[in-house]
Amino acid sequence: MAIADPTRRRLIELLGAQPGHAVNALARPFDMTRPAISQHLKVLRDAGLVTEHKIGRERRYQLRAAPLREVSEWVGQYEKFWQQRLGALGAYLDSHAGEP
Amino acid sequence: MKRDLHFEIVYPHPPERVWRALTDKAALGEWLMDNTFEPRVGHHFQFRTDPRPGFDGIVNCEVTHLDPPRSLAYTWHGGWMGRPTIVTYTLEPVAEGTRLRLDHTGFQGLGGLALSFMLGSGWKSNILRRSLPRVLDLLARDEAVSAQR
Repeated sequence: MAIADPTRRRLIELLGAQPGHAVNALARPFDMTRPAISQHLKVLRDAGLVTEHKIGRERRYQLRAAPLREVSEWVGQYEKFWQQRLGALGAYLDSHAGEP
Repeated sequence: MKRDLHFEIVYPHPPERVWRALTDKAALGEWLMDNTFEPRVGHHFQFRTDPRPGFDGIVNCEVTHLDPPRSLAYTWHGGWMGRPTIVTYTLEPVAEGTRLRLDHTGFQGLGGLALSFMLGSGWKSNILRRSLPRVLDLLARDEAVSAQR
């Protein structure tokens, strides 16, 4: 089962609130080691959700807006889901109209 | 990135009949999804649909409000949703039959992600075609990471 990873969601929220975080700053709110946070950031980076750039010896992280905008549009896909299902409910009701 | 969904539709049927379609397990299975629903506040139940890559096809729910034949609410928690969302049905008798209002609220951030896996039509949309490989990769990594623990 693909479980949501709360750490990665929280990382995305942190980066969304204030871009350009370094790993240390990102790790602070978590009870996790810096390498563990780096590993989570790598997953997000590989997925194209986060970009990394170096300033001096420090790596800084930033959200990529485009894929996240797409994700927010997925709620719009949910809108289609309910429209379809409410239509199916209407058809169900019509076909059971004769019942008490 | 937060959005609530609201729908209103008038069905030419009395509220009691609409209510039955919303709260009868077999009826729900016909127009929504297979389920283990029972009309009882506090009842935990599931909707099940075909699993797809990255989504096990299960939505976990709990009945939070029941006022026949006027209103019904349950939580709606799919995989990858950080927090459960809430689905509320409100029935109002009108001259033409019943006005049904559906509110699906509480989408937050990436929360709505896995839900799209269950949307048949969603697979055809450009948005999904573009994002899907990336998200599937992300979900696959999630599973790999979980398996390592």
